[in-house]
Amino acid sequence: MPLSIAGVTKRYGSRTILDGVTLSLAPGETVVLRGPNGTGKSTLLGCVCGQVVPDAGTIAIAGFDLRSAPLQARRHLRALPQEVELPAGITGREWLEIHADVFGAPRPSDAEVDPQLRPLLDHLAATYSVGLRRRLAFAAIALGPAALFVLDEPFAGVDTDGRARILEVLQARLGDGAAVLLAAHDHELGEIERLSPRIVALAPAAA
Amino acid sequence: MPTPRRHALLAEVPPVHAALPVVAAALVALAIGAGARASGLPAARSLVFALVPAALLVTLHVRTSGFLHDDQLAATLPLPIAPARRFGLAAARHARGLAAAMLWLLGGIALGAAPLGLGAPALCGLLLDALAVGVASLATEPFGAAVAARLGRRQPPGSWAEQLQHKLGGGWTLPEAVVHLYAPAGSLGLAGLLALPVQLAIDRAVDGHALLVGLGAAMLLAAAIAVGLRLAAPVLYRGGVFEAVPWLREAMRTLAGPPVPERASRWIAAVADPALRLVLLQHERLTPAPRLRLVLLLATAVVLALRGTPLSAGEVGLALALCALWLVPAAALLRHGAVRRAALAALPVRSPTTRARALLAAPVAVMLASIAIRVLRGEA
Repeated sequence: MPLSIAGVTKRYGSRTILDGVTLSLAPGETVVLRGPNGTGKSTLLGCVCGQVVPDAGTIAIAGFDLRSAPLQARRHLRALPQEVELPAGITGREWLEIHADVFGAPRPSDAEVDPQLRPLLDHLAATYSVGLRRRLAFAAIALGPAALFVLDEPFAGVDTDGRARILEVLQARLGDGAAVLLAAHDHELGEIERLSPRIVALAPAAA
Repeated sequence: MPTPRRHALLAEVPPVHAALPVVAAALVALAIGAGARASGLPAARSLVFALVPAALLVTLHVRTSGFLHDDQLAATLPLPIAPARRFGLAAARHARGLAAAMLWLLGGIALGAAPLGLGAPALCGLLLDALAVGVASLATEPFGAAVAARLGRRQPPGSWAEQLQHKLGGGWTLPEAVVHLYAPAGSLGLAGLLALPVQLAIDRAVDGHALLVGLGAAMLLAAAIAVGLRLAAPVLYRGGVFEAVPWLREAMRTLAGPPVPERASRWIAAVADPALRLVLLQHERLTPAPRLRLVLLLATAVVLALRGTPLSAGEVGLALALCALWLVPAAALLRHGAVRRAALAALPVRSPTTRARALLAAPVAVMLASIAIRVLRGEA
């Protein structure tokens, strides 16, 4: 099972954002989280990525509990945050190579890289546009085998060509048995249809 | 539209670098302690004259970043906040930072001079010598930031300012970023110069000499220049801040050079641990001339270890200065720590912090070992 979320609760002060959320993703399955702003989509994705610690509940990625086996769980996780910030002083090529080494994947040849990124690979990644930074971040997490892709608004700031490439890669990974959990807005659902997603609507939790 | 009275975002002090004034003061204490023991009051005075501006330079960015460098400043640039308000908030933060740095430095000097057994007048003289630089910096550092705001912009083609940008940049840095290479050291050099007549007068008074008329006139002139610079600073800043900040952001993104950086050193590219490699790459690209500083430190350590004479105060001062020169620029890595940690958070890697700190500390350990060898050999 790529992802198993059981009874996850998250509160900020007295405000409950997630209240006992339970969700499982099977191999090859895509789940899209929908809901108005403030319903906890990014919080839930943050919990799955280990960037937000839930107050209660458990999360397991590829069978590894995120809290008790953090490294093993992360080996199977590929996360794209809502806002991509790349470390200063690093070129696009170096960022890809670091990820390839982290994931134990071969370093990508130029021919394997997103064509839009190719001419800029030796430029400092901080000089990329917002869309290109997102494409680089996605290209980095797409290296090597993975059980679960967690994507927070993956198409924000990405052009049509970039969105098509992201979907193409995701389709291939779904075919390999990975699962995809993503947050998206209604206007992006048409494109995401290609992944035959299950829609999960999050509602505001009771205060 | 009513003018907002407070801008909390602009007034915020970044916690990073909080330890720098303490480290600088400790190094000054060590150097003055060693120097004073060897050569007495004259050496202590010389060290105060040379080291106080240097120590203030180490901590300069902490207190002046509110003028041009802060992320918050860039984030609030689209807001209709008047340059005078921005300057006022940055200047208040600068004054607080300078006061804190000076307090630490004065403590360091008092501590370093303690073994010399100076009388109260001589010790007060040393402290006032240092204070004179601090007071002058109150005017020259904001002035330096204001000059950076004025000259850190695209200048009209063919103008003297444009020619100066190209000449001083040597063709390897963005012309608009050139002023940021020179303004910090320039502002502290100016502070040292303005403080010089005051320091001479203080030292003469401590030694029982009368104040010379010429020296008095020089003091008055220095004071007038300092006041003039402080008054000119907000005017210069107003004329440049809205353009200088975006140019500076661009220079920070490209590390003030072309967007394609030099290739990483082979040994860094060969580091197997990807998280550690990321930190090493950042150290190589984000700190100035790391290889040169490392070679200087290690070569000096070897020379110091091999010399046969007893260890002198000057050698200790040099060793400490080179250690500081190696360590202090690495604070740039702290500034970028949050982004690096966020980028690594969801990856299956161990935090590289401990290993990176050990690598950074290793050359300093070599230098300390070489000093220890000399001390032990001298005692034997």
